[in-house]
Amino acid sequence: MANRTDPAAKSIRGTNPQNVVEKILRSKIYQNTYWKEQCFGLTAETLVDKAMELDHLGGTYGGSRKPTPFMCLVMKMLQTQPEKDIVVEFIKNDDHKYVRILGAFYVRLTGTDVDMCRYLEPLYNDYRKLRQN
Amino acid sequence: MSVTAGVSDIALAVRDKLRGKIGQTKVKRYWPGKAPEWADDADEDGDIKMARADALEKAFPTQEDSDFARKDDPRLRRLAESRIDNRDEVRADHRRIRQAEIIATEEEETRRQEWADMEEENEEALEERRRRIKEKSRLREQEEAALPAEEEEEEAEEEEEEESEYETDSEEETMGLAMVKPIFVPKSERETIAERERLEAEERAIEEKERRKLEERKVETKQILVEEIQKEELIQKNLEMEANIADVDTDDEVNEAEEYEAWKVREIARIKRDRDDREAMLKEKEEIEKVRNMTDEERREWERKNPKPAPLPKQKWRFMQKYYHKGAFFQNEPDDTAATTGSDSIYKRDFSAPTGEDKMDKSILPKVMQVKHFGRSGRTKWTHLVNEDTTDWNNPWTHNDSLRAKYNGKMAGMNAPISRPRGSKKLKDWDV
Repeated sequence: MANRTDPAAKSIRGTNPQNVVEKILRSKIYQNTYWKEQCFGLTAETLVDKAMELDHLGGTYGGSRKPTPFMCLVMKMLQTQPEKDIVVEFIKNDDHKYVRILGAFYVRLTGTDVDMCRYLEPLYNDYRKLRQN
Repeated sequence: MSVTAGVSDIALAVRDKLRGKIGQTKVKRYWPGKAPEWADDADEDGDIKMARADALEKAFPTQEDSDFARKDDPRLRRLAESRIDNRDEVRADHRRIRQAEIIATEEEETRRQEWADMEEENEEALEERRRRIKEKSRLREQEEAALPAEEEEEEAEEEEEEESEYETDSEEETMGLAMVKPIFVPKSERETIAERERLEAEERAIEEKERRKLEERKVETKQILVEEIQKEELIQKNLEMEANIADVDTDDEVNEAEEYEAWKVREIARIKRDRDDREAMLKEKEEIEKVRNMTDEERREWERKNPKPAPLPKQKWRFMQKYYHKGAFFQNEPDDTAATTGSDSIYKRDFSAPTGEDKMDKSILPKVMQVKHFGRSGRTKWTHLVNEDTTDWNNPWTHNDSLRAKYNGKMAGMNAPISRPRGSKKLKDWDV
């Protein structure tokens, strides 16, 4: 089954990590073509490649609220639950801003407050522009 | 025509004819391209053709009434004597569309004739022929003068004619009519060669024209292509421009200094906000402590100075307005300062405003209709408490008079202000 969480994953906030994203949006992501084509069987490394190709962030767009690829990748990260080091690497990298954003968003969803204070506060100093959908 | 049952239409037709009426004409269906029945019932056999011819001859005998027939109806004779085996083929052939075939153009004809002339050794005959040709061409010209033909041939012919005419005329004048001395015509003045050259020049001209046309077309197509490409580029540019206007420009390298300045401003604002929040919290705590430790008078004074914000004046609802509570989710002072819900103006609208049914003034309705959910199955019969009150005010214990007022005054909780409970004497006795 393609949409099962990694069985070794911890639960976040007492529930399946995928439940962090709400039901409606989750179903929409599962039906999305980007998810079905590109996000199948992604591991951490391949996920990085996909993240490098991103050029905008955002939740849903359009009248029917289609999810963006950014959202699909977030979902993928929740599903596979990469290690903390990997996510910190995402945040630390400087060249690709959308990879950084992806990591930061993931930490915001799943991390503890200490993590957030430690890793996300410095991001205030990054004043690069972002395209939001 | 309706066919009466059991009677065939043939019978009907026969009957009509017998009665003198013109029978119903039966119109057979028309198939285009198919010969009608009466045309080729017979087989197209040669023998039968012969037989037919014979029959025709019998009907119109050719020899006996010969002259008459011959002169006046050669067509009949032709038909009778026709030995065409396959009439069908002929008919089919007849229907075939023929294109006009050019058997020989004028110029070719004249050229041929002239060449024939040249080959002839007899000079006289040559001259005579020439004359004949000229006359013919003159006649033809006269005929064709009406037509708006701009053929060079004609002009050429005319010129030739004129030249030759001139020559022959001059010759004739000097020499007489019968014999025309053959004059050597130099190559440049020879009609035939001149004509040939003219023809070749024409052809070359035509070819050149065609080449030019092709080139022009090429140029045109190139132009069209260029235009199309330009149009497409324009469209693309417009799209991109619009996209850029809508998009956020995420070029980071441009204007580093400006961006840094902007970031500085934002960062300072953030720090300030955080500091203000912390201070506000501290201040509140201090104030609460202070007020708690005040005495009564000071508290009263303080309250007078800092009056509690008066609760929003409650809107007066209309008569029988439906009760509506906007819900407990959207609160007045939610904890989440960054929440976007509750900030839109729609959440701040007046929820006690009448809508739909409530806009109508229900007091003008007859009493029967002044009921909630009138006409629906969830209709309630009872209106409101005061209306449904059935107390019998005539009873001595409900009758409102001075006795009653005194009794009510003694009842618990009717008179004294709650802020200062005094306590009853009975309870005081209890202590002692």
